[in-house]
Amino acid sequence: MNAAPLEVLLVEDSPSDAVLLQESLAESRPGEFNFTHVESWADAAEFMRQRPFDVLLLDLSLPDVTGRETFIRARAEAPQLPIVVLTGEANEELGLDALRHGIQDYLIKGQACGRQMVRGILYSIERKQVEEALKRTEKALRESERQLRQWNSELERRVAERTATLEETISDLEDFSHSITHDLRAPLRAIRSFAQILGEECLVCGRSRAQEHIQRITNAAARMDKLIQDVLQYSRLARSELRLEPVDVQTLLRGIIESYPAFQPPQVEIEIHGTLPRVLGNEAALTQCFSNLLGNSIKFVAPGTRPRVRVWAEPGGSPNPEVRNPKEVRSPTSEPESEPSGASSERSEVTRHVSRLTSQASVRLWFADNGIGIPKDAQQRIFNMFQRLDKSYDGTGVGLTVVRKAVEKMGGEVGLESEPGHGSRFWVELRAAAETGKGLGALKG
Amino acid sequence: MDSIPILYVEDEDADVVLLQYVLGKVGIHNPLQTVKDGRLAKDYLAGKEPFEDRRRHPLPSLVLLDLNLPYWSGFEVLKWIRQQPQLRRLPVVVLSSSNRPDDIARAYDAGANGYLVKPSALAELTSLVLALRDFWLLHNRFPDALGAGAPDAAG
Repeated sequence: MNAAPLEVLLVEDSPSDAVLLQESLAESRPGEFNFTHVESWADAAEFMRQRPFDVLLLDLSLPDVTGRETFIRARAEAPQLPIVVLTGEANEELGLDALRHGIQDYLIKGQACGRQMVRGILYSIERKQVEEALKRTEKALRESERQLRQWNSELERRVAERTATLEETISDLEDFSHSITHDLRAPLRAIRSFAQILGEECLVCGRSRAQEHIQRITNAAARMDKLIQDVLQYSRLARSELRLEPVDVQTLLRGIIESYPAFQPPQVEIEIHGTLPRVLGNEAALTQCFSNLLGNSIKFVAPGTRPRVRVWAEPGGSPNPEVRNPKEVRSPTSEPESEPSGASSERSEVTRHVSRLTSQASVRLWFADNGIGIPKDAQQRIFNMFQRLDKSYDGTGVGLTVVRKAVEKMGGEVGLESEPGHGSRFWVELRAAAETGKGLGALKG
Repeated sequence: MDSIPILYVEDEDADVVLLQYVLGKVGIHNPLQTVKDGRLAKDYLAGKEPFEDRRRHPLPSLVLLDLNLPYWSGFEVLKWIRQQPQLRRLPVVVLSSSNRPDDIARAYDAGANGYLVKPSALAELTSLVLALRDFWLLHNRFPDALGAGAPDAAG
């Protein structure tokens, strides 16, 4: 119930009807309505311009407008005001028509009692308020949608813009790498080759100092060339999208070992323990990783030591391998040992590890060597570009960076365990490929 | 096989000298003509001045073609050759420092008969030259004419 009386604008040209209505309402709810009575639409419009009303009671046979025209006009001129039309007994159709035109209610003159009329008027006010609130909400919603669409298209425009910039940058990078290949390597090829020719000619002249200097030029040029190639290989890898498919690590690794004389006896001994499983990876990238790891393992050995590398697999599966207890990770074969005779007794242990692999989601491949080892504080650093711990060994410091980038691109991880003088055990953890079926179709990444 | 003329299109002097050195070292004495850019290669093959004298500038049976060349790139030279009715069968082997898959594919698309990457060490260049000799000069059979209405090439 309102504290202040409702301001009612009554438009009714029949004075008797007006009196009747007012009396009937006032009787039902004394003091609740404050009537302003006019007899034409022109007067009503005039009053509405002067002050606000809570509700409009509208007769449909006014001197200046009659019938449905009346409520259509009223609705148009007072779009937010609750309106109740008053119809004659024979004109219920007109009342229903009014409802279809946004009028809140209709009252049939002489039929409704005071209480019903009060209820009708109060409900009409209520309905109109709800309707107006709904309209405001709708409008706000439409505005939000419009804003959202605008932001969205702005965002799309910006994404397109950035993409274009990025594509340009990538294309610039491609051109840059390309010109590195061409322009940097050409003079290097000349330096290297002519120094070599000079060296051959010096063999004849027999100056050993000169030959040594020429050898240094040749070596430096060869190293520079390797650096350029390694950096290029890295940048190509970093930019490429690796397509993942099941790769048979066993076959791949054997193939790598067979195709490089440097990986074969008698110079080195590389053993694969147990059966290596199939992983989800990219064959070219894995070839790069494995040959880099093997190459590292056999390169960094103490002078006079015959390089020995053992490779085996065990279940991965820990989302963060760093938190696992290293003791748990370490298989018996990963313990450094100088005598190869111990290997056969450990094999059963390794096989047991591997047999669990089938149910695992990831696979950890170990590469254990008898090299010089890596101090703890340097173990994370060695994966960074150009990190060379011992300059007396030949290398560019890019190999492990390539390994890490490639493995990360395949959704895996790399790491190591090592102690100076006790060899290093590098590991690569990759997603396991489904063991059933040799087809590649099901698992293309 | 000693008489098969070769045209080497290469703008790097050092590479030309190196190839000549290695050819000499392994005993290949075929006539080797060199031009320094793509346009000159086209003029040479078309017999335009200053290459109109075919006794001094014989039509080659084999072209070794660098890709990164001034004026006309190797790709353009290659496409041009394949468009010439009198030259379209001419065997062209690309000899480039680029091992970009993109370049390799483009070279074959343009009609290359082979693609070799310039090695950076002398020993590898020697082995490459020996392979070229064995394949192209020893075993390969050249067409009698390089195209319709062209004079016999393999002299």
